Amino acid sequence: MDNQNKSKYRLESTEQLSRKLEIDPRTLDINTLKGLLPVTVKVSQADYVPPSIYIRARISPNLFTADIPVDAIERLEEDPLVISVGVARRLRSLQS
Amino acid sequence: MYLQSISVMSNLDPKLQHMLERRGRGWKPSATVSTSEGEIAVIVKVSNRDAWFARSEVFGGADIGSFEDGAIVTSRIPLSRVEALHQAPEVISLKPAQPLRPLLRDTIAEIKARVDLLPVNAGGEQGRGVIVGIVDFGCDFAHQNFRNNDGTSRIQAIWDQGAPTSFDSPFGYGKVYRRSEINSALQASNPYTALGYRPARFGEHGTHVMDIVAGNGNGSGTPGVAPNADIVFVQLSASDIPFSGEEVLGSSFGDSVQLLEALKFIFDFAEDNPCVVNLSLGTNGGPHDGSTLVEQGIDALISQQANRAVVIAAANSFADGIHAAGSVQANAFKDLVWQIDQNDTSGKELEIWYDGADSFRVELIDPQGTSLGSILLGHSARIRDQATNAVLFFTAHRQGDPNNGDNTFGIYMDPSAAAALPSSLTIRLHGEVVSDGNFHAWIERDDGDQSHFEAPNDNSCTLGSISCGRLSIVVGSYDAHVIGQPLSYFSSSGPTRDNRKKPEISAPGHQVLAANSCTLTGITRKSGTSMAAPAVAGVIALMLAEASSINIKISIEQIRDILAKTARSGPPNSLWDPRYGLGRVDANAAVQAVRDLLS
Repeated sequence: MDNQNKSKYRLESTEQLSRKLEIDPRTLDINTLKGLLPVTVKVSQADYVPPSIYIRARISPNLFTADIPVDAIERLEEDPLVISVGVARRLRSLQS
Repeated sequence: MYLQSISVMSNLDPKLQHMLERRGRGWKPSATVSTSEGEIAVIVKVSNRDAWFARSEVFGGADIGSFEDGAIVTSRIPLSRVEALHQAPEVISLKPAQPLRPLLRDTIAEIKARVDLLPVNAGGEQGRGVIVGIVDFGCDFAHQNFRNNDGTSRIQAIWDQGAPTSFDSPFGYGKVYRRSEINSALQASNPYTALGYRPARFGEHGTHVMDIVAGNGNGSGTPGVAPNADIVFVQLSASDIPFSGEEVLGSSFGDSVQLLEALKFIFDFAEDNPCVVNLSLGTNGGPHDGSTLVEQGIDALISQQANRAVVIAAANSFADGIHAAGSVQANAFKDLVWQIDQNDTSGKELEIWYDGADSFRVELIDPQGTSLGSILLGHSARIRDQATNAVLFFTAHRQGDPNNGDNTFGIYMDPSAAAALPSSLTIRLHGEVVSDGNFHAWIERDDGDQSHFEAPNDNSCTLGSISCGRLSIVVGSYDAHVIGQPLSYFSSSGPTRDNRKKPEISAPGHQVLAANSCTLTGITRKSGTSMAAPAVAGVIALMLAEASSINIKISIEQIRDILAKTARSGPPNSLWDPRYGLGRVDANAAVQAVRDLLS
């Protein structure tokens, strides 16, 4: 990344992102997150549950919702059976 | 005190300018007896009244009279379209006016779902035995349209996800109100207080949607599509982590995790009974290829057994300038200009998706043309205001999304950004390694002054964030009140980013009169693909009931196939139209096609 200072604005590098965690404004700076993060987790092995993860709902053999502690994100990143982690994204009604 | 200039068209009527300025700060006109939420009544002088009334965003009022230089008419229009309509060639002047009385129209007749328009040998008894699931906001269980002739409720359960947790809360949160509890509450002088659940206000979205699918007309006099179906309602809420800006606006929203749990709850409740769920929900962001986990989850739940379907609104973003697409060549660049209201701090987000075999360098350029620098693939960065050091945006350039392998670049406004935003950002995509070169970009929905790409806009691929799955049925909107059934101006367009043909079908979603919460018997008018999707959900309830009446179960593939084969053309005038889909839904033909499965 290159920086220039002629603008009213500047770019500043931040740390690398998790590869498995869905990009979301709240997950770009994991250091600001606290407590439990509601997520959807996809795993490659049917009925697999990563250690220390509390399942909320089993959607299919390879998909479940869960509350994960923020400090578990790194463990999920390194877990070879975890494919991806989707964060709770907002949904609104579609009235024009 | 200081004067602050604002960017509103100065040749507009001052009252309209004031409304637009307020809209920029998140205000939305409330519904009145004759206008929907977000609409205003206007008096318009036009040079060509036919051209004016032909516009899909114009709801006709009275023709006041003709004059030498034009005609004066009254109409209702979305506040969001005032500036565009003011510039229409036939408009001479446009002034805010008094509200007008709405005209009752009949969605049910247009889609041939009225009982006398169904096949004469139909045995499904208008949805009897089918569970209709509604995941939405605001269920008025006391409205007469959701009560039997003896006054008891047709609603089997309401799961209020936002209610305090009890010992039997599904998935550990919220509260379920069973039919017996609802019936007890209906005996009380104030049923809402007695039950501990109430729609928050008049004109709740969920009550209106529920009526289109399955209201019985006991209060309003006009039934919905499947008036004998049973109803399960989930009042969606969001997880505890707050979303930026939403609390300030105070409007309803849910989240994708709790949506999946809502669907699981409804299908579990239905057990082996046929079940169709309506989702009139969404946003703009995401990969638009059906690969998000929420879309994969919806597909998984649908495919677990026969007699299940999920219907989703296409979205209302066609005219919002929120999509861009193009191709980047190796060692060349392509610019996207993101235009932003500097003083609107409602959430601003933009995402670009491109092939995983490609590598772009993303350069950001401020409104003065000065480069801020570049973000390489695999890197992320913040944009700060030099003077205050405030963080304005986060950016992320991720390689290989785990769900589809594609690369993503995203810019997200910091939720606490208080400093003035740039009026625009140019996003320059440099082709470093190019195999495919194609990209798509979307701007997320926000409820302030919607940011957009610089015109001219590519309004294709504007389906909602959860509307690109493989098994869901996605619905566009047209106006059933106008000859020729023109598309609603807002109704989003397909295809998906991976070029699948969605929406599949369309239905009336324009100026639909249906149950008004907190009125017991009243109705209100709303527009949106939110109102089109429940018409199709109701038709599927009729199909499922018909299948039960002849002792068969139908798979989601059969449901999709029947809807496709029975959809009406003229319009659309092609086999598949990116906004009408395969055609306009036809309840009569769809029910008959189910019966024909036996032959």
